Amino acid sequence: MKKNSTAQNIEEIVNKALTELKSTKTLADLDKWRIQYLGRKGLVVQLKRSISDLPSAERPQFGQAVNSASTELETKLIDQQRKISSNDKNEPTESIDVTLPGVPTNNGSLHPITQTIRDICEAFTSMGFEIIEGPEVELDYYNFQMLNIPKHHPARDGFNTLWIDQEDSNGEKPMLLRTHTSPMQIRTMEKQDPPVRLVVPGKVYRYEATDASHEWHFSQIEGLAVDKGITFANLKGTLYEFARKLFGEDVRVRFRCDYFPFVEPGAEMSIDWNSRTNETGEENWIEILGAGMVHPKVLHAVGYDTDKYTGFAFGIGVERIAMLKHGIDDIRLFYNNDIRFLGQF
Amino acid sequence: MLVPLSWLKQYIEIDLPPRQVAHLLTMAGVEVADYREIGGHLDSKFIVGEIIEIQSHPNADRIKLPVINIGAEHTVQVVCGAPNIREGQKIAFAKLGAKVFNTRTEKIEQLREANIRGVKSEGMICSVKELRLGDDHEGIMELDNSATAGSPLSEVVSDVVFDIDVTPNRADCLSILGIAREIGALTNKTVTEPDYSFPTNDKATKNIISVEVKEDHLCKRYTASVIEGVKIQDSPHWLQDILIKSGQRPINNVVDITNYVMLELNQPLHAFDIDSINDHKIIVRKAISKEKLTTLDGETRELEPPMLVIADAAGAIGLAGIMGGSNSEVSKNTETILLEAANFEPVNTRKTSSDLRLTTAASYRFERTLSPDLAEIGLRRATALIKQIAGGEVYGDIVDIRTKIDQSTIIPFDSNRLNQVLGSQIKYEDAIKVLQSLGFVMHQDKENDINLIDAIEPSNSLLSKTTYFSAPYWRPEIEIQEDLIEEVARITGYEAIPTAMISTAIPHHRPQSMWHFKEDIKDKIAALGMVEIITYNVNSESELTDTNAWDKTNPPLSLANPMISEQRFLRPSLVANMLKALSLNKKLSRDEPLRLFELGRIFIPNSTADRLNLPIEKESLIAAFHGNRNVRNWSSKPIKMDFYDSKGVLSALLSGLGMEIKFKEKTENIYARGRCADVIFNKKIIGDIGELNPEMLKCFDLEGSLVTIFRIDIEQLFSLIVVKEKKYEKFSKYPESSRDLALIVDKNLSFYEIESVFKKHKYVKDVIPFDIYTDDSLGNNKKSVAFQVIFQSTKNTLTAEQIDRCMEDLLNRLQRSIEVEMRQS
Repeated sequence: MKKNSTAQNIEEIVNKALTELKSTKTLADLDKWRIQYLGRKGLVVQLKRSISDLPSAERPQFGQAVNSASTELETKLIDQQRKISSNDKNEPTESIDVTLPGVPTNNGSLHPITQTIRDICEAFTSMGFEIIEGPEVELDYYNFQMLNIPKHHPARDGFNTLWIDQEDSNGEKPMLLRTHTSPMQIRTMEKQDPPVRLVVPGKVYRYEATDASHEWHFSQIEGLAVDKGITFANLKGTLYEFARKLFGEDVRVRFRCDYFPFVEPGAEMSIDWNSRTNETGEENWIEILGAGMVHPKVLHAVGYDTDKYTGFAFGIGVERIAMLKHGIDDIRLFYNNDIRFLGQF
Repeated sequence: MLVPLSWLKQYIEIDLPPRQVAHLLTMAGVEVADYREIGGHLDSKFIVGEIIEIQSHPNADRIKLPVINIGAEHTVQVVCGAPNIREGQKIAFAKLGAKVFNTRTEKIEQLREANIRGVKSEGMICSVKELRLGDDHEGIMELDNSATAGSPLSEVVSDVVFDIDVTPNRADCLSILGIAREIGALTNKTVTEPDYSFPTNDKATKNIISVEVKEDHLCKRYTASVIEGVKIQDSPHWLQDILIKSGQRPINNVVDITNYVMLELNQPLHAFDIDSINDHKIIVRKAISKEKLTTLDGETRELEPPMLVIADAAGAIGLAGIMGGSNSEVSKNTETILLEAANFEPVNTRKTSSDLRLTTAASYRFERTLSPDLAEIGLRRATALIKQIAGGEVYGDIVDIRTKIDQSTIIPFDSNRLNQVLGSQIKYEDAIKVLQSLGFVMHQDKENDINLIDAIEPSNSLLSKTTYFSAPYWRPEIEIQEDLIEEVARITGYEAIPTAMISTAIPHHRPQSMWHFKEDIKDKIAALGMVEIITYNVNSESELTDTNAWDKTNPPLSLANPMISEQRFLRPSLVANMLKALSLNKKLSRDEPLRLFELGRIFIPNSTADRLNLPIEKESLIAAFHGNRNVRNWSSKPIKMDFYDSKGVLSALLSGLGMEIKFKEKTENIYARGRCADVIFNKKIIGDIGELNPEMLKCFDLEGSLVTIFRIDIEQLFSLIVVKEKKYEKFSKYPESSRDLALIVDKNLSFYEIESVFKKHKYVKDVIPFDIYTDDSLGNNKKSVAFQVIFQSTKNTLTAEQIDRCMEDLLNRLQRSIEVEMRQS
């Protein structure tokens, strides 16, 4: 063999080695193979040694051939090793029932009203509105009088008020549960010069018989923007942007005239629910919020210069929006606190 | 407010479909909640008939045989048992084949030729009910005499009735004419005013009646007319019909006319039988204390000043602006009437109406402010109609007492301001046209004797144009320029105003807001597996007493008019509502884990002396744990949640805020004795935690349950940590080593005492208890505590020798302060 070593001889050895390699099944088999071919006394080493028996002209070519054979065998060895060892690991000790349920985790959740308030507030904070809060027990003064709703004004009929049972020396009840978040307009403007741009989320209360669409205890988000040059067009722009953020890019909105004593002109915004879902067919206008340009009497009362400053205000009913978004058909579910309901959000 | 289209059409031409009319009004601020079409189902089988003659039935006394002209010189004979037919009457006639409502079978049936006791009937004279126009089946439906025999019935009876929600500022829209004016402005049509004229005799009212107004600030104007020789009877058909459609019940011609004119023009009126007025003397005065008056609804009411009454020489005969008295009511025998149209002050009317719990169509209108000008207009219209319908003669003059005539407010209208407010480019000329179409009167110059209202002066600009307007008498609520701007905007349409984002700079926001802090807490606690609830802010007294939240020295504020009478106290604690929520869910969930939290407000009233000031509203957090630690599953056995589950969540929550807290055992009644603690941060108590007292749980239907809660004062937490940022702490790059240790110690020794000794050592990084048990073999009052001590140095890798030395040292220290025994492992 020594004397007959040629390139062809090398090829035969490699082929044989590779065939044997393929049939190895365990790491022990593989080790045997490695010793036989690539070991210190293995065939490859023997071939290398046999180079000295060759005429010097043939040596470089032979040497190259042996080296590349050696490299090939080593590479293939590693491949085979990988194959065997991964097969080894995958050798199951015992199979499991993959259909059993996973180990439960405890999932917390935020109340849908919390989530809706955040969605709404976020739409406005991205337009530069600041979030502030105010007291739920309010004075008649802030809840009504400063908002251009004097005592005994018929507009009070629309705010069925829950009064705190404390009478002053005139036999009048000065405190109430706020009927809207609007008093914070006054409280803020009393303390702060324009510009003002804020939203006020919070609970509000009305004396109303409870049914699927009425609660006496609900949430509202007030908005106020006062500055030089604030217009009704800005009111429309801001609220349209809000509607797009909440209900999607294709939502259609419409503004109609409405009356709130603390704005002039007053407006109500509706959205076409069907435009949102891209459904064709009838328009389905749903009232979303009340708004308007802040009444000059209100600005005047807090000492703002009504020639210089104008502003708009709006009030959004949170439950109504949450009900629309999630298809909830009974407002009472929100404060019933049944986890079968709460767990869905 | 019910508004029949046919009535509107008397003043204005309307060629739009009802749907369009409703839309236009709604967009302009006069919301049409709904509209109802009447008589749309009446096809050509229903026509107007005229009874030419009535023959008797040969075989039945009560059945008549009217012969009916059905147009084009055709007549038919039918059989009819109705009591109210007469010759010459116009009636609703159903031809054979018409679909009528059969009142016996209660079904809609096709009319067939009938033979009633031997006489053929070729059709039917219908009642309102048979026509499906209403419930009346007393007799046949009578049509107005102006109807033409043979013409389709639908032309005569079909109508549309709009149901309009009128906002409190628009008293004018409580009238048909007011709505007609709106439609006029919206559709560019002119309104035709009704006829206010009537012939009179030459008698003077002062000879039959004297009127004295004692309270001229409560009654700005009192007008009255006298009509003698009226005949009180039922109103003509058209009048009854229109009142019924408008939601009013017909009474008699004079009363119906007062109602009609109130609906038409908005002016409430009242008719007195002049002969029932003692001494023929009317006095408008405040009620005398405890004065009694029986109002037209039959109720006897006790009055108090400053309620305003209409009185005669003997006493009250009417409640001004609200309801007449039965002592002066118009009756069948009335011959001469005093017709009153006055103007009463809104606030006093509203107070009286609310004190007496008596709201009427009249009081509703006066509350919303009517112009004194309207009184005379209403009076003239009603007088004209009474003369026309009830006959009689009208006295030559009217009573008119008006002490002070208010000057009409002249309002500047500035072109710059218009677009400054709206952000639009509405042409000034167009805006002026809109105002004029609504009846506003333009004044080119600001006259000297005119009181300009103070708030708004026109802005000074070279380009600005200013004119002045006064509002028509039916719009007394229009006071300032913005009111004019709204008129322009709403009639032009809000869709004509552009949509634009705010272009001025964003104002500074206050950093570190409480709102964001609360939301952060909610996120963190929800991430720890807690479900948020939101509960009502009220509780009953017993719920608060049961949860030890009723402070006798400073009881909670209560509501004067709560929704549920027991639930009237503003909660000073979140515990009761949390337990109610747990109780509700427990019933539904077997022993499944309940981990609920609420972050809400509690209300602490000011001290008793100062209870008229607003209470303190504190943001507060409560979390409650009940049931098993995990949802039932195959991989672990159910374990009940206890104090330590609650403590785990609380610790994770607060360490998430970068706070290290301590727990100190305490006693409080809501908790089980020895199973609760104060939560302490920086030596301040920020809340508490514990297992609830089983006795208290009974009150909430949670008997035998283990409920653990913690409560945190969020306001205090916020004030303590808001300025504190989490600080990065370097961690050692050298490896940790650990040793396990088991000690037998006194049963009452707290783990904290062991931990604190160990933690003082600079190499001790942590002490983790992993097994605690008591056993008789340990000796009386002893427990075994096994824990792992973790060692680490920031300077080098600790050697086994170093750690051994350290352990020895620590045990010595421990033994010096407490009695411990090493357990052999």
